[in-house]
Amino acid sequence: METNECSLAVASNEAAARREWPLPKQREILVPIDFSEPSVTALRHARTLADGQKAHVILLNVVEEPGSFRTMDAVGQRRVRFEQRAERLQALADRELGPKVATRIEVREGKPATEITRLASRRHVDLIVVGQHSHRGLWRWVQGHTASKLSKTAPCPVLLLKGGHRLN
Amino acid sequence: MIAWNECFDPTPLLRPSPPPAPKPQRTEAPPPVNAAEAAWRIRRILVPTDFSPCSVQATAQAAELARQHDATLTILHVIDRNPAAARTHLGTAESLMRQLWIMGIAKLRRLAQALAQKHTKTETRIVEGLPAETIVENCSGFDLLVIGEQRPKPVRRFFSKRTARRVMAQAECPVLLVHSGADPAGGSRAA
Repeated sequence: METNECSLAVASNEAAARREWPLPKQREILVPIDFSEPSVTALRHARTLADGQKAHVILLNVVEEPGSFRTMDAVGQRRVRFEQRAERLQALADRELGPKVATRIEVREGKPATEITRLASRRHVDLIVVGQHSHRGLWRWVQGHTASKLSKTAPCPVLLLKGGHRLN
Repeated sequence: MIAWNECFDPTPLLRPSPPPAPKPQRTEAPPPVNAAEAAWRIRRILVPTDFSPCSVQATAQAAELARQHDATLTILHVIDRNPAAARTHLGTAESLMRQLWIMGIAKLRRLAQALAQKHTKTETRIVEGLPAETIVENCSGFDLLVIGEQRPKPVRRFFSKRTARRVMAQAECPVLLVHSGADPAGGSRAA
């Protein structure tokens, strides 16, 4: 008797799940990049997923540090920095993803986790692939919990990768 | 009596020091690995489930991925050694655990049959233990771990936020975190 009840519950959950998936055909994968090793690993993993699903890959770099006022040209300096970051992202995308995968470059300014969440919800991204720094203990408080913050606030599934994950 | 220059040889200090080794250029990314290594193949996917809506959604997405990448899906059900039902259960501990096992096996079979109809290669695994620890122990050898997390927490569930968090922090393999429930950002993804 009880077993029947449970299996019915499972069946209804199945139906709910079927309504949610499959997703629309054109999918978008967001990869936040800070040019560190875990983030490049994340990009490589994202390529596998993009190949399988014919998805767009969005590369996002968030500029965290404010421009220096010493040069008295904060606006120009900011623009130059944005252009530099965009160029580096483009180079990385060309090297790691190749010409087959459709990519898009984004450079934003602000706090990483906030900006990534904002972009993800605005563009209705289907998946975020993040590289996790393996910081432990106190150092974790100082830096490097963008990934875990993101997993709390993201509007879509998040794929978390540690830097040490071997590709094989 | 030992003279100081017998036990201390000053010649290395007098000799000019070798030029410092060229500092390795700090590259912004590791060099591209060879082609065989670069591909991340998803062959085995593990999805722990407690049959709650969020974990069933995670299972559905894992099945989708398994089909796309032609991977084997392993569904893991952990029977909690500290079951939440213990508070309301009338009877012995043995009867409660037996009941949990029977229910778990039945639900798992049902889920596996549903997935087998959709042509997904499915394995099932049922283990008794503490959820987070058991999942982390079982995830070795898998290419991807898909875990569901329930966003708003109206009821304390088996897969509470804490289980997903702990698995996320400790798991050896890549973790795909699937949320269900209302989005805090407001942008709901209607399919």
